[in-house]
Amino acid sequence: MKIRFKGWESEGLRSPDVRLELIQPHQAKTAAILIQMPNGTGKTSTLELLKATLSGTAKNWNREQIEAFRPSSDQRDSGIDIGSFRCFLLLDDRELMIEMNLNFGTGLVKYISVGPDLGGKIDGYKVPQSARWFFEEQFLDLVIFDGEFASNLLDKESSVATAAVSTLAQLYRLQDASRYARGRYKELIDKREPAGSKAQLKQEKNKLKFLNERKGDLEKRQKELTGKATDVSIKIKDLEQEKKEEASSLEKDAVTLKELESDFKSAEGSIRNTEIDLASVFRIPALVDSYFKDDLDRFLDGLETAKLPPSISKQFFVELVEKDNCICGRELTSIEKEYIRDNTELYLGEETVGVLNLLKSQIGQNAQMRTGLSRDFKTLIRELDDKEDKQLQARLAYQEFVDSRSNGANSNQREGVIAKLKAELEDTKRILEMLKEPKSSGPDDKLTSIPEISKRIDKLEESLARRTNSVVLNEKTQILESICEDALKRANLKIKGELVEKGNSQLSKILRRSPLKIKKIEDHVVLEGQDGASSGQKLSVGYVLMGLLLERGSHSIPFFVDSPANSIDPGVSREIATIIPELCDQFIGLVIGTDRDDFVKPLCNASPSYQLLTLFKNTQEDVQELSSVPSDEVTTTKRFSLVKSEKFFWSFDRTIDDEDE
Amino acid sequence: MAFKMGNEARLWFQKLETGNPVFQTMFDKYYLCLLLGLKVRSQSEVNGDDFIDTFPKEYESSRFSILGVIISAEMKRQGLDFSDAGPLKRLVTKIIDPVSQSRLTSEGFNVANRYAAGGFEELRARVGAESYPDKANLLMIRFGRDIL
Repeated sequence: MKIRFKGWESEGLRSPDVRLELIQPHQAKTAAILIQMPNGTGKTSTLELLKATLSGTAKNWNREQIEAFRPSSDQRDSGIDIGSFRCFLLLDDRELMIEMNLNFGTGLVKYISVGPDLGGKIDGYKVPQSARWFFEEQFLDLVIFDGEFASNLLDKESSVATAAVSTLAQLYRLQDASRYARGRYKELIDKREPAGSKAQLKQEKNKLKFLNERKGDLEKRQKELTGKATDVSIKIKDLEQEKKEEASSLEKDAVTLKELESDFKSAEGSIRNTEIDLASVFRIPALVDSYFKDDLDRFLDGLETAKLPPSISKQFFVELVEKDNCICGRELTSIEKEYIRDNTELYLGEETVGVLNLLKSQIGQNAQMRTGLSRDFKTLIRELDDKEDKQLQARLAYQEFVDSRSNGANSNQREGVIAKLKAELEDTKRILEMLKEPKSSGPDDKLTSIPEISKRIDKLEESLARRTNSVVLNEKTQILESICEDALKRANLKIKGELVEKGNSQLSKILRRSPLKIKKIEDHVVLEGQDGASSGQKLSVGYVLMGLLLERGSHSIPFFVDSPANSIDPGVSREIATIIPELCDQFIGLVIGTDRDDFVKPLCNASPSYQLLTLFKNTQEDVQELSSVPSDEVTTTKRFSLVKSEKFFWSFDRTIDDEDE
Repeated sequence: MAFKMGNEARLWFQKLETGNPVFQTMFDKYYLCLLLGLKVRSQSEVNGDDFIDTFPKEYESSRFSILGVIISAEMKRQGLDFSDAGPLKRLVTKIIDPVSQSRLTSEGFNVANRYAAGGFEELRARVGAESYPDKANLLMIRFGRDIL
């Protein structure tokens, strides 16, 4: 069967309210469809609604699950309380439309199905029987593919690899056949007349019924516990990875901390230097303020005008009057000596003269320092202000960093959660071991070993067969069951063997720089010589294995991938893009701008045909940008715009829209 | 005679940070107050004790300049003409003691101490009576920013 996504339409929901036509009437063979949606546009909501519409599983949703898709009050039209999501498909070129209506008022979900193979329009969820397998939830989880699936493929506790093989290669059909044979056998022996006591037969039948029910319950429990073990071990792994990343980030933090500390210390040192410069300037009044410089200049001028200090000191006249003659040799009279003595006070003493000379000299030197100064007092004050601000910033940055890394409480809490999860995992494994125990004793209603219950069921079946004369029929049914079981085992082995061989061949082309080899596929994928893998390696393994599984068999199935180049190195991304057209006939990818060069371009080059769409929230700036796009290539709704222009796709420069999905 | 710091000023400055190269000594704080007092020509009575009788060695290269600004302030305060030799000479001899280590007479110390006390009053008035000044005020206190 050839299945294609033809498009979808959303109305009154959280997801973008637009209709996407993935296959145009004149482009029936569009192979690659890339929808550019900035983060925050509603990719996650769209994918969840798509899966729920296709699988019909929203019938069991509770009010809370429905409410999760209700648009915010500013996004919805008043009075309308119903949101609709429609999926359009082509099954062997015959149309099928499934509509899912979420009633936010009543909390109910209703479906409408329309298609020629259904006989027209049907109220309720219905798909053609021949394609039922495609619409199974577990199948859609594989076809609508994301990074989590790729991670789970390599998880030791996960059985997703076996599930994928069983689903995509439809091996579950063998189990269906086995169950059908046993069912038919039971119907037949119920009609036969038994040998011996009817009461005993009834007792045996009741016992068999009880054991079958108990086995069913225990198998259901086993399935639940296996799923739980997978979930818990993934959670433990994630937390341990978080712990590991935190340890490595602590090392980086130590370097950052050292740098911040050094910034802080160098800011302190720089302040110290300015303070020392400031101190030397501060101690000289003429350098502190021009007010003092002017005062000192005026003071020096005054001394100059007043001829101070004088050339002759008071001491000269004191000594002169002690002598009989003047220095010129003339005799000094007593009147002259008296006059000189009276006027000595007008002259300064030698010491004072000396001090004044020192004073003049120092003031002169200080004034000269002012002219040779690189930064004056006020500049230094400003510099100090700036440096203190910078030091404060450095200290705050340092403190902020220290505070932000003080996550001791978080890490203690995480340790507690890890310990709790490990205990939970141990308990789960213990119960799973108990369910798998090959032998067990005790009464039927206390049995927990599934193999033991199976043995008792076999014995009872044989006894019943004897009583109803159906031994041969029972043996034939058992043979059919063992054929199915054996075929399942062989098919699994063969398919997985092929996947390893072909997968490794493709991986060697894709991961040239970081080679990786699949050793074997058990319930999960086991790698050669390594326990873990990078996100890019995991995604590459996921793409390759999914592609190979889709390629097998006679069905042609679309491949829908959210963020196809997420976390992949550009080189690997280009290689994967190149092989995608070989993996499937229709590829739909939700991408962002950064995926264009290394994923979209090579994919477009390798695809026989492609379609490039851009879907984004409306903003003021877009109105101008959109004016250059031909109107038949733009669909604008109240909140979103969908542009079919290839030119617009390549030039669109937004990777994030403002609201979370 | 000696340089005096008022008791209130001592207590006020005690609350400031220590270890700053500009303000290592009591004289640094005294000198800041002196410059402020000289600039705003404010004098006040000193109610405190002597703390040092000469200029510290850090002021060796500027002590005569300090004497110069004290004499200039007094000339202006008394309305004297700088070019008049007589009054200038008298003021110089009133303030400068050529033989004392500080080169200041008792009157010289009195004049300086009164200006320093006046400067402190001005500083405290501008900063406010905060016990623990914030960063901006600390800088103002340290360097008389916005006043000098």
